[in-house]
Amino acid sequence: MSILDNLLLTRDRNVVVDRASVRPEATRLIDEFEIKANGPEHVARKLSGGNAQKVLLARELSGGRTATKLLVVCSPTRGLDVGAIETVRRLLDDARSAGQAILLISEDLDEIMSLADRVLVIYRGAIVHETAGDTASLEKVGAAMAGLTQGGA
Amino acid sequence: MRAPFRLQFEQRTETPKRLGILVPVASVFAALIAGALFLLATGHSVGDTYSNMLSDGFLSSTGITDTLGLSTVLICTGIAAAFAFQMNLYNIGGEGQLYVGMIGATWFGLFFGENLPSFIMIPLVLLGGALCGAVWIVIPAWVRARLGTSEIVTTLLLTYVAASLVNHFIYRSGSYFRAPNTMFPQGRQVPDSAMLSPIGDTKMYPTFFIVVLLSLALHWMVRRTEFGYRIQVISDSPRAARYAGISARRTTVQVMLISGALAGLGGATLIIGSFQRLDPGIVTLGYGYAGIVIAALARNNMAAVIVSGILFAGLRSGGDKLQISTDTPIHIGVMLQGAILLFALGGEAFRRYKIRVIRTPNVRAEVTV
Repeated sequence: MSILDNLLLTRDRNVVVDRASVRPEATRLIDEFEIKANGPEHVARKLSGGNAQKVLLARELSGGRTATKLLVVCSPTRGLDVGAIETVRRLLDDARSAGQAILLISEDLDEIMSLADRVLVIYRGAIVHETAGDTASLEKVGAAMAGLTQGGA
Repeated sequence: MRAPFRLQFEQRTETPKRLGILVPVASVFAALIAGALFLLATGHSVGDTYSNMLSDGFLSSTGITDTLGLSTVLICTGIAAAFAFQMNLYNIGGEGQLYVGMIGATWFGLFFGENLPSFIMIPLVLLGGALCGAVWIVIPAWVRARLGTSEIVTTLLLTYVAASLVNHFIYRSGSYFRAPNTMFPQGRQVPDSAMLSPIGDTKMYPTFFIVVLLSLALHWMVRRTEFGYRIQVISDSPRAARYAGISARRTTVQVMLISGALAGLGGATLIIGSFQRLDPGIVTLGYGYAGIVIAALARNNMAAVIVSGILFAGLRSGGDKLQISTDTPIHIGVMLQGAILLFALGGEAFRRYKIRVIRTPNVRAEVTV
């Protein structure tokens, strides 16, 4: 599937698919999301991991029919190179600033600390710790992850 | 000792467009060269054989019209195979669906033909054949979609059932399809209103143009419509399809039914055209199986099937006539078909990989004492 066809997944498709009308938007998104591709027809499978991840974000965040109410991202930067990590995090941050609700699930504590507005720690199926992102401390979150909370466990 | 060079396969990130044409054309030429080796080995003249095949298959006026006439059914079975293959559904039972399409077309022709005019009968017989071809793939489609049962096995096995069905309808005494009062069991001819006459003094029927238009319409459908988009998403990434709310199950059934219908339509074109009756001889011709090769050569492209279908029809009809004009065995045509399939499938490697020849440096260890 091309990048263009990927975008179509979250968009209205009439009986006759009008790719021409989506192409300018695809070109714009490739630019905006810093996707390294030859163009809208570039096969998504043949992109690098980071660029494929950016295509996913472009697809989900650029609206369309199923304008995302809640975006669930799980380990969005795992296995990406430094540059791509930076871009993906910035894109998520921009989306948040634009009012997009995002549930970020990650094992990368630095990622959570730098992005999250609220941090929740789940231990054995229960939320054991909650704090605001800017006041979260690595120690407390780490302790909660290990089950060492006051009154808990 | 090391080999003087080695081959390195590099996966292509993009396949150049020209390879899409070059590989099939090169496959055909490679097959012709392989065929030439066999002709030489068996003491036949390569030049005579190929020039006879070329003129009998393509260049002479009877040659080309015979070829286009034969290509009608082959294009049908070709698009039937290609349509399913493009979604990784390997319907290799086009042969059986063709038989059942023939049975259905004959039934519609015999049952309604006496009372209805030709302009109703022709579409009715074609649709009846398509319908029956689709019916023959209902079980494979359903078990594939529901249980994941391999459609390769089920469609293939049902071909043998279909062949028995054809024989049953011809050899059972008093069968509706059997001609009464004949010494040898043979099919009853459909009424005139269910037949078309050939174009002029040829073996080509107007159904050829219907089939060509149908191929082009399907080609457009696959590329431009939501249905085609669904097929593409499912074949590329079933998980993405599920995520987007596309039902792979439903599309699997739809695609397989259409595939069966196209093969059945092929059977109907035979009834409307040259056969005019249910003929048990159909089970020896392998038109349905040929569709698999035609689809492979066309790389499942519906429009390209028209070209590869005509090419195959030419090889076949040119090959058949060789037996008459020369002493070359008829099987050279069949052999070429097989060789083309082999080279076309092998040629896929060139489309997917960039192949580099790397010379290994010739290093000699010198030992000085």
